[in-house]
Amino acid sequence: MVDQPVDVAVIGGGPAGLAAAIKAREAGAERVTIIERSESLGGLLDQCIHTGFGLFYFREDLTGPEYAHRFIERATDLGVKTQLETMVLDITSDRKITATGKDGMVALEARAIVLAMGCRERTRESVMIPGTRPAGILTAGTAQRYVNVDGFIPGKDIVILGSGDIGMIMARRLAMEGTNVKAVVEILPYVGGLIRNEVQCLYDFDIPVFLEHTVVEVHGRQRVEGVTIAKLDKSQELMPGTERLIGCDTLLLSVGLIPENEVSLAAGVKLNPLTGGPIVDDRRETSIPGIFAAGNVVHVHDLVDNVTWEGELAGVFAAEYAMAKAVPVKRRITMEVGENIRYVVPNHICPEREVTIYVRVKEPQEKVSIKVGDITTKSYRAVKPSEMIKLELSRNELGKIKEGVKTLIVNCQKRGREDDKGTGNYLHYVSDGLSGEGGR
Amino acid sequence: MGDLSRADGMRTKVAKPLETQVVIIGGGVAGTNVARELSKYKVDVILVERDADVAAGESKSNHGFVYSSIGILDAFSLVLKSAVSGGGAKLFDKETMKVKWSMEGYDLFESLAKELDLPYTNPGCLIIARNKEEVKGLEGLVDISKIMSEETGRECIPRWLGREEVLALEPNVTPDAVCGIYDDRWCKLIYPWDLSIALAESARENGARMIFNAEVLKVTCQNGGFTVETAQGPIKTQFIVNAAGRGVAAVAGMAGVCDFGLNFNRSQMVLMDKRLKGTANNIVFVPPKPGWFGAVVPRREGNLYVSCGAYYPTQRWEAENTATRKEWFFECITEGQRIFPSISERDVIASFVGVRVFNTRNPDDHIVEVTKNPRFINMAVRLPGNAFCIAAAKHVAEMLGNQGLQLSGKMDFNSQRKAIPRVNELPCEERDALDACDPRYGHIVCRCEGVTEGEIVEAIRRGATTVQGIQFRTRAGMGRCQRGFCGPRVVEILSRELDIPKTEVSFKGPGSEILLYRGKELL
Repeated sequence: MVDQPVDVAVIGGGPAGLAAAIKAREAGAERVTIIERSESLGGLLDQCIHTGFGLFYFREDLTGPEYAHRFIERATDLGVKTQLETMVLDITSDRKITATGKDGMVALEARAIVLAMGCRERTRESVMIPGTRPAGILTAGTAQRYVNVDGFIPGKDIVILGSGDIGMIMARRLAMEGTNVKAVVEILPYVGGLIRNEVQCLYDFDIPVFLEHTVVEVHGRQRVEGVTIAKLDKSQELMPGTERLIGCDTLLLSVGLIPENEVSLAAGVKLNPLTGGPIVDDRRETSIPGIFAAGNVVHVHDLVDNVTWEGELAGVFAAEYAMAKAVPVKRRITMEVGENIRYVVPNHICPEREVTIYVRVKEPQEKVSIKVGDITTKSYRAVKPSEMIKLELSRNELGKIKEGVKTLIVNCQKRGREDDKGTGNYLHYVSDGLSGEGGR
Repeated sequence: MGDLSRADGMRTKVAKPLETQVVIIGGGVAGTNVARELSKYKVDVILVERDADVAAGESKSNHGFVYSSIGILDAFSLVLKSAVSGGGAKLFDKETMKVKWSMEGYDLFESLAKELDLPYTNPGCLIIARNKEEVKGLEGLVDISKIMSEETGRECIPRWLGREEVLALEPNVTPDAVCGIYDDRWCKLIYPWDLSIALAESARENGARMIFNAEVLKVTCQNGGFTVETAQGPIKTQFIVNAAGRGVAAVAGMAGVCDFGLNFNRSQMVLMDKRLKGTANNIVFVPPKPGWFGAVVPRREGNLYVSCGAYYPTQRWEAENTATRKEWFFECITEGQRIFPSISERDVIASFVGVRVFNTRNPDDHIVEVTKNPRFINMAVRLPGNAFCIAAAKHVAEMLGNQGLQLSGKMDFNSQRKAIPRVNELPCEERDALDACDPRYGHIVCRCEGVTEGEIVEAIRRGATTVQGIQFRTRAGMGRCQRGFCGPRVVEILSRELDIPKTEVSFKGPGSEILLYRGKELL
């Protein structure tokens, strides 16, 4: 066991962790260490060989590895230390870290910690797909690794359950590999994930989409031999007579992502049941002072660019905390969810600092206004759960928060009444807020 | 222990007919016990198994109770399984092989567990009642326990607990609990596959050969012996021990020694996230009805197994059908919630179906006997088999001896087997020491269960050839992400260590390969 004191320890070397480490160094923290459990930095970006990364952050269209590379280089230049193939086992509330790696057990004491462990995919059991348990059932992200990193194709005839972004991207990827993507099956009446993925991955590749359908049984003893899909009614009950058997050797699942917070829980960090991630303030500080969190560990993002921004925020404030320069919070406002809002991040803001809040709606809606307390109202032509809404609150708007106000409720409400009948012909949204990081 | 991974022609067809003294058919808890027992003697033994690994059938999908045939769990089991026999027979009969040999096996279990370094726990058994009818059910179980006590001379009458005592023992149990009965003496808990795996390792260490993916296709009787045709080639043998589980009647039929049929029934079980650690302290049941039960079983690692619902009769042609069903899933969860309200479908990480086998000649008992061909022994083992088979194996060795098999003890029999270290459970200093010997013990491959590369490589060295084989030996892939993260890494390690292409790495044997094509192969 080696004892090494560090200023900022970053758990996880994906996009959030890299951004946090870089900003922490730039903000003046001397000893910044990233602890990463896999063989290389970049997190899941190394398996995302498609483009679409950095459109907002760099105003360039990059692949995942290219996007990651820029941050890995910058971190290396800044002297950020990395411990690869090292997995954090435990964190205490006073920021002692225990990890294990090829060099044995590692004990680390950190002045500040940034949690950036990302998320994991929901599995077959979390959506209860009955039937046999053969080989050939994989999550879309696992399949992506097999195809893009290892260079192997799981099967020839593919059915994909869930139209989250990773699922759609894998539909395209596997079609390009010469497989027969026989169906993308979505339980909701609309395709999930980002519109650009729906167009570029499904429509452009003529992949059949079955909406309001789900997989009701898996067949095959050793290897998947087929799946039965069926249509569901409005209350998500199976409609008898709609079952159809699709012969396939592979079933990919793209049914949502879950923030990975086992280590956060060990430290005693409080989680927000609405996001599955830690409760954070505008600095991304968790319920435990000196422990910050950013990226998909906080809430599942659609775009890596937003993950980076969130990581930067956590990095800057973690550095401040480590150097004992943190400005004491005079006043804390709690953000609460109102009508048609699934969640708001951060959970707490400070009226003295400009802040960007991230909002995800529950249901798709057209012609709405999103109100933050009584300080601001913004109008949107359409909102949907798959696309996160960013609201920048200016100093001016924050100044409108009256003395004594402790909470701000965020509401998403319909504007006017005149357009109740038409929902338009091009409305896309996802089953839940967890359906995917669009960049993947 | 030598390198076992490539031994025994596991992946290659056997060219010349092998010759041996005893062929054991089936690598479940019955077959592996017999293999280990015979490996104590100077007897040449080959175990053939249809699947790619031991414990592929019922021996992997049972609760893992090691029970003695007396006590409340056995009383519970008698009421429950009376549905199979029609309830006509006397509920407890100490003259049955089941009772005699289960008690014998139970008495041997602790020393066997020590020899095999087999982890087991001894949670108490608590059966709760939530209403008057269930209180009557408890009374019935206590009555059976009294009979058991009287007839066997072993004290196994449970203790009555009032509501407060039940809640003190199980603070999270349903507030509907009115009373309960409790005993912690006559049942232990293992992971069922652990037992078969440990027995097989020990048997192989002591010279028993094992051939996998070797379904028996034909048995020919010759003067003084048999030729067993398997999917891996023929084997000439003097004796056969048929422990083929669901296939036991079919195999016996091949040799013309089948005088029983089989009945099957199924039920579904769900495995819950270890996040629920501490929810249950004991094995908690509600009183059974014939063919209906409810049980919540806490595991060492914190996971819960919930198995509630009916015993579904299963047609013969469906004996291999272990497909899960949505309605069974919900039955499990709903009834589980009536025992521990905090159980929720959100915490389910796996669900599977087990098939129970009963012989039609006497569904209340096992069949372990020399058949009309004195060199052919049938072992039609039913549940509960974990304790029973320890004793049954000894009796089978005796039977073989009586039929002329020379049983002289091996001087160099090594009774000791060490389990693969569970790095995740070791104190820091021991982890560090292990890591210093082999840095692969510092490299975590399965993050949900904290399983290291060192453990996985060791599992392969000991005979794991599939992803599932590694899962059962190390817990890699058994956690909440269900191989999402470690899957590709385990495939890589298997391919490297077994020196096979990744396209040949399978989930559970031939036909279950995980990656069917190389990149660009389909273009």
